[in-house]
Amino acid sequence: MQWSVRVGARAGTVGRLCIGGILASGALAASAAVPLPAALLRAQTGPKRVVVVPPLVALAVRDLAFGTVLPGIPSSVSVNDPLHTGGFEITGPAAASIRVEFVLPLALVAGGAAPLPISFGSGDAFAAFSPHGTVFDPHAPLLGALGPAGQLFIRLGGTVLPGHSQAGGAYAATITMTVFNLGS
Amino acid sequence: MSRVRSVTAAALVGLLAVAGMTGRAAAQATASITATAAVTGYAPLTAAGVNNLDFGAVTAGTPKAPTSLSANAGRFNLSGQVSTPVTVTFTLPTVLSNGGNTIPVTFATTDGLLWTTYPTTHTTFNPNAPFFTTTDGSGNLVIGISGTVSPPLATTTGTYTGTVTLTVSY
Repeated sequence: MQWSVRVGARAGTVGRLCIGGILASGALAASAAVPLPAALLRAQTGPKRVVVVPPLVALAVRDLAFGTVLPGIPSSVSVNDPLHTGGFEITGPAAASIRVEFVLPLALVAGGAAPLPISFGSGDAFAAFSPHGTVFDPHAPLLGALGPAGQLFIRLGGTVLPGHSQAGGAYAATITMTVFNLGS
Repeated sequence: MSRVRSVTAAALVGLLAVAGMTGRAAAQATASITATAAVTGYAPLTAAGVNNLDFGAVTAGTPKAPTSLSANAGRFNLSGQVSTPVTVTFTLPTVLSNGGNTIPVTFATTDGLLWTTYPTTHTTFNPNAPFFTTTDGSGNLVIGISGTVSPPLATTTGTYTGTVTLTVSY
């Protein structure tokens, strides 16, 4: 007795062969070839372009230096002071939109001495945008754009408020600036 | 079939490579600086009145200044940080009073006294304006104040007084 069977060729079809009365089964290999869209195939044959974008970089340029201060006498660094203001430089893609944020300390510390309070006013930061710079409040995010050369300088002033019994010593605190690239 | 499969794989790899080479600027960057201040251990400032401005006996209708600057001018002893600039400011009366009666008192531009060596040597300054000077090598200053009273002819007899206040600051 001969048996004849038809085995399907669709992917995933399980064909059964009955040989000599013994039922066996096996799976056919799926082999459907899905052609790529023509547009994608053409991309492989055209010239490749490489666009190099400058990285976004934040640099610490200068510390905010109040110098010598006296107990009981507040001391300020004006945002217009080119020598004592804190300074940052931002570089990146030309005209890139950015957002700048600061983490500002509440006080400077010196070992076990009482902290030296520090405050930042609404006019204690300056961004040298092109063509006109902007005074801004360092407590709030700054939105702007890098200049045509992909560069921006920022200055930061402030005021320290030593108490009448402020202990002598060298006080310090960290100010951190983060810049976000919002795209060109 | 294997040839189709291999072409498909190569195309996918190529596309991924192109996407990688386009490049992107970093999403954010951070930098930190340090705020610094050096608090000096300045000695506290003190001021003490040690001699009253004494015009002595005056005659109605006759202006009078203290007889002796070293003995009768007002005098304050100041102490603070060595060799440090300070500002001296006076609050001066315009009259001396005896109850409801008053006599005018005035302070000329030379009535402020800086005793460089008390009681022998002094320079003068205008006590009507802030005076900028420096503590000596011991952190001390001796400041004096003179003046002129001008009792009118009809001034009632009595003892007339007023207050002179000195303020010193770094």
